[in-house]
Amino acid sequence: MKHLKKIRVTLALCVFLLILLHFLDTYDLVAHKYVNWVFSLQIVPALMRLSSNLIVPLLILIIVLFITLLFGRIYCSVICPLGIFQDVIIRIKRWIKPKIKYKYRRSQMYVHYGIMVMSIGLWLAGSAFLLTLLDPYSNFGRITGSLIKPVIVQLNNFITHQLHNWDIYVLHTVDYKIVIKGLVYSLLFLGTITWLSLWRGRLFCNLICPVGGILSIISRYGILKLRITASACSSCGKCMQACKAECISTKDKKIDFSRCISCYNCIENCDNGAIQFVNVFSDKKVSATNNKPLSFNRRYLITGTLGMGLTLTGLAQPQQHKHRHRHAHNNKVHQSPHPVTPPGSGSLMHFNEKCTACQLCVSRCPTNVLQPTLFDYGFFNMSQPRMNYMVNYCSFDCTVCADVCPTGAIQSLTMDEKHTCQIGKVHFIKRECVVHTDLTACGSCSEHCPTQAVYMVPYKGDLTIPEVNPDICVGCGACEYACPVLPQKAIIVKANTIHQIAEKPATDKLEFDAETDFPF
Amino acid sequence: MKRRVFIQKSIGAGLFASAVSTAPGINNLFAHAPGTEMFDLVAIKGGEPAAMFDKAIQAFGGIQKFVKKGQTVVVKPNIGWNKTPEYAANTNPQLTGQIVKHCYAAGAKIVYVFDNTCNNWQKCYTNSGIEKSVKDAGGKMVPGNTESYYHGVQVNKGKKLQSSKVHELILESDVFINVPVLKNHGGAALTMTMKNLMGIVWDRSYWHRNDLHQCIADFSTYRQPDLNILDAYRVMMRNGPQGVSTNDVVNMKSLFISTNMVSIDAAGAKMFGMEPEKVGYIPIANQMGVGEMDLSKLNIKKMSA
Repeated sequence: MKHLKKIRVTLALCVFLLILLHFLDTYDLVAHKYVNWVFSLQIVPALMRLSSNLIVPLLILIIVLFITLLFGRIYCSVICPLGIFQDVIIRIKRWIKPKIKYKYRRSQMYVHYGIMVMSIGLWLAGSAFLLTLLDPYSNFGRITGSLIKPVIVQLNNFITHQLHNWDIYVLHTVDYKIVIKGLVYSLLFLGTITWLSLWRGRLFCNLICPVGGILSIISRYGILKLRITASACSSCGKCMQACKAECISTKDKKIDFSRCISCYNCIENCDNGAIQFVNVFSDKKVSATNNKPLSFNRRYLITGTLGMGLTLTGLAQPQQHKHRHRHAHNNKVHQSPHPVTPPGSGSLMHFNEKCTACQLCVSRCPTNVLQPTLFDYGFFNMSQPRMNYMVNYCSFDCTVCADVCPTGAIQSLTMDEKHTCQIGKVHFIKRECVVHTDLTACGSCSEHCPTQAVYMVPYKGDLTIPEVNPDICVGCGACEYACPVLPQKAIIVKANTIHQIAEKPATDKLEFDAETDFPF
Repeated sequence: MKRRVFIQKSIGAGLFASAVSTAPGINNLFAHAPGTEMFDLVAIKGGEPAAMFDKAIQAFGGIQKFVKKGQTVVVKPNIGWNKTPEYAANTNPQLTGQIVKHCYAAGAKIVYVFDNTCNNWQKCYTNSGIEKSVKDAGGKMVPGNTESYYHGVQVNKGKKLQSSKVHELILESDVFINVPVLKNHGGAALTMTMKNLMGIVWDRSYWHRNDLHQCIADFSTYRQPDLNILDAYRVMMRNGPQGVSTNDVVNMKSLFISTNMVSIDAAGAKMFGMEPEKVGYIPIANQMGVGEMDLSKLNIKKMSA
């Protein structure tokens, strides 16, 4: 029993490092397929994938729930990156201040289950807003992808420069741009989770986390539970003081197993071996004394329905209006009325439905064209990434975002499908073009266009000016990015709210007579 | 030294020298005799990239004329696009590798290769085939993807472009070899040696915004590369500079060498089927005194491989 904690810590660190490194692997060292499985174990992404790919996520969910029913919330301490992240914070705190003593606190299960029911209820009603906002995996992703990664990249670039000064080119600098407003929520959440874990251990997991809520209810009716053997207990209180979930009462010699996040600190700290797993079916006393059965009382119901009702009312507001308003407000500003969603996301609706804004795609996007947002998709889809053509453009031969997306918001594309996946259409604004305004050559847009949907045609004198063929445009945004005219670009991509299939550019083979002499 | 020994050694040395000079590959470069006619431009056609370069550079005086023992060299091909060699969007990898080999054979201390690419630089370096051929030849592929590599310089004769940020390798290396590929360009008509220098600066967008042709010509006054090698083995005739399919590409199997960008670009334009005057930056640079674009005034060596 004493080894349980060591096993738990080892497994947790493996999972944590895999997830962390996948977010930070800017050198593309590990193939996605070797790491993606850790991400598919995450509950909320698995829930999101249910509707598009039933079998695998369902199997994963059943296994996770079954393990929870058997042994309790092992998920919270081994699989959940945010749980492990909190453990890391708590561990650091312990190094600085070794004598942290937790004490037993009353369960806040009505608040917690209320939040959980609201999150799931809203999701079933069509908006993953709350679930996304509180999902532990996605929050960990936002922290890692948009806050930790920039630090790592800066560090890498600093070291690289030192090495280059000595003519060593083992490392290379990494371009990394991030739109600041996309960090707002991540920063707020990082502050909150750090404060909560420093103050009361795993309070987040037992008060707010919707995944914790689901697992808590299941573990409440679990089969094997941790229990204090009263005869062996000396009431020293060491288990209670070590319990990050604050669910052990020394006075009553009881463990609220529904809140236990399976860290096994109590087992490790008990000198008498009094804390052990007990099968509830062989010992009726455990279920009778350790857990009150759930009673759906009035307060709980009122909180739940009221909250849900309010949020649903909010959701009923159509989101497109905001964009149309901004577009119509100033006739001179040309911009896409909707954010362009990444190739593979199918449509704005599909993307809004599935994306939990975990920022894994943002973190792995080789060109940084995928950027986190704040309210670009509307309040209820905050933080979702968009294609930001001011920052960069989408690489023609790249499907990385679809390869890594754990929620199915961006679905896999073959390279052929990618080459004709039209996420938006090019839109040329001649009166802004430098060829038109300054009568000087440019062609930057056409130069960057992978399909020549933007091509140059004769203009005044020897000049050439862009002309567009939206049918073969894939909406990669290279033209918009490359256009040197600011602040209003002379060429932009307008989002396809439902992605289309672009026509393939048709060409005939050119011939050249290699036998002719030099023409000079 | 005794006479007999001297004769023996001389015969040995002579045999060795002739063996070297008849050996295939790059060794016979050094058999180039001094006093050969000097050319403004060498044009060769009909061979494979590496073999054409071997012959052409020999006719141009050998690489050792430009690269001395112990010097550092920077070779700047066009690696702008994430395209494989058959698309002809980037400089030919065999040619680039062969140039690196020649530099080392001439005693270069180190040969760097880089470009400020348009697509993702790692993808460009890999898929162009240039990274592999350069590394196989012993050269060093260096990134050019962040602004910190670039340092401000003055372009004193520039009209529109008075300053720019240039990659540190160009500023620090002893020898600069410019190796573009000849191809169609939607905005600048053609891209050749002068246009290729947009890959050694950081802020290209400024050039596009402020009269592209003038800026290209302006920057050509900043410095002449020590050697210009224009790759016209595969040539993209339309949809440039990136190309849509291999249908845009023809096999010209040609190569040009010159120390003057204007002259070599004029020859490239002719080869492509355009008059040099029609390629905006060529007449401007010609007027600014960078070089001669009238090919009839040049001493040109035309060869077949």
